[in-house]
Amino acid sequence: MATLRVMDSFLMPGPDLLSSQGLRLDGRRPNELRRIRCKLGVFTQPDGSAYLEQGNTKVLAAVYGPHQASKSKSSTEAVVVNCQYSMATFSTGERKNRPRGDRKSLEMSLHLRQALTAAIKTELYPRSQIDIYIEVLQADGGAYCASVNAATLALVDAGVPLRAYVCACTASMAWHGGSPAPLLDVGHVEEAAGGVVLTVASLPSTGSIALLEMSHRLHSDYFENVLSRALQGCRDIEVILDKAVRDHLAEGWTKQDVVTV
Amino acid sequence: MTEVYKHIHPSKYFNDYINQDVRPDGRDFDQQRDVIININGITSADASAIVKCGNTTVVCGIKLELARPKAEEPDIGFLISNVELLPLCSSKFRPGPPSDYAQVISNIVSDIVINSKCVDLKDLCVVTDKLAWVIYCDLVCLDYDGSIVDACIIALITSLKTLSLPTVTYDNETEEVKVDTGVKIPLQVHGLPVATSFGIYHKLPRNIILADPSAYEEEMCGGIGANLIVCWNKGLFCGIQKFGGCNLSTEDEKRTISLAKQRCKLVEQVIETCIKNGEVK
Repeated sequence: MATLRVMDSFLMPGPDLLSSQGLRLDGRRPNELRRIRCKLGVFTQPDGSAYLEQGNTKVLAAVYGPHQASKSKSSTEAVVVNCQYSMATFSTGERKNRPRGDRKSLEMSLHLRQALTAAIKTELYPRSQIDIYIEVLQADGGAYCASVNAATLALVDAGVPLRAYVCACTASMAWHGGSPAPLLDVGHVEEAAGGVVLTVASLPSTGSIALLEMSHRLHSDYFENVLSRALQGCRDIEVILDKAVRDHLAEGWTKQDVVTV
Repeated sequence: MTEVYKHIHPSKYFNDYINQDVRPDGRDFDQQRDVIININGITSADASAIVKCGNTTVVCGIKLELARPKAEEPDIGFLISNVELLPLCSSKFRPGPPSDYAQVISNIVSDIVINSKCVDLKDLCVVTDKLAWVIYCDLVCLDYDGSIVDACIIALITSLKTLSLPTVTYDNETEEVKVDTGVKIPLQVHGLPVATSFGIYHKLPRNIILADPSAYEEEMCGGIGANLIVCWNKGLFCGIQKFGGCNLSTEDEKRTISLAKQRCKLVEQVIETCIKNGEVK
């Protein structure tokens, strides 16, 4: 017990992420998600589109496809999924000079592709290509998670067959009066404070994990706790996304059908 | 069925509509689409506006930075605008570096705004030869359905009108710069340039002018980039551009100029109403 306490103080992040009343820096409780608002079918040009807000993070997703793949990329067994992640120059506090093509964007594009390929029924469209474009209009932490959630909605809007919803969520760890308290859905301020951030993209209905990424250090005793909290967050997000899809279908049509050209 | 017909005989499909004096989306030749404006949607930007002209959607985000003025012009700041046509907005645009079309549109928008002198660059200078504001205006097109220049100009002017510059104190001896975001001065915007796009459809005996063409109509009228763009700035005619495409007779030219003038008044009203409602909140 004594050695564990020494490890705690060694790993504790700088400023307190939890106040004495147990509230976080933006006033949420430790296992509370930020408010999610989403809408499907927001644009007329793409085959499927979605807009998602998670707290102050605003993300747009557009899906084109499945359409014919370029010769170099086509595969005879499965569809080729192509993702592009782009952040608008005005999305962050400091103006971002290179919206796409820098290493961070390429890494995010790759992670997105891996998470979404796990859900799409790729064997249905050989020799074809699905393009997914993500534009982040405002980034306030959790931009990757919002992108995955928006991309799932856009894929549903485009009519691409999926095995399950893909939902992503972040989780972190804080200490409240000496005992560990996992935090759900990390915002930008909490990320910058230097605590550990665990990002999980999972298919909640099947219980499988498509992508798992962790930054900083976390003692292995706490890992299970943080992971299960993040997976629970994914399940909660799936409920929200499912409701949005059902509401959208209940409206009877998408904006694409209203414009008749 | 109509989709198939549209793909097999695109000209005949379009001609069938034009011969009945109506456009495929039901508008008259001179009728323009509605304009919807929303301000301050992006809180990470210093000023922002989202504009929808029909289905064409453009977001403008403004970021401010401080820089040293150029040596040959030590008392003026910088206004840099850039238009991004993402592959997200239309299947016509491929991923990669900005296409020729995107660069041309960026240039047109930049020229219209700079030549209209709506922002006096001398206002942006903080300390002569030492410190000046740089206004970065980034326009991102989210949905491309024709008339991109119109939407970009409206978004840009609306966000400039809602922009406020923080006060900057500069200590000459220590060269220390202090920015106080609590006290903000609104930027003075003179004039309100408004651009209107027209497509010219080649038809014998006389070419037809289509105001505010959609993406499909632009393709039929000679491709993207062949639009006629007319610019008015508060009652003063300030620009006309046409690169290639069909011929334009002189009576048609007069008509387009008067249509653009009416549109300018309408857009001014929309922008003023939007900003007033924003301030009330």
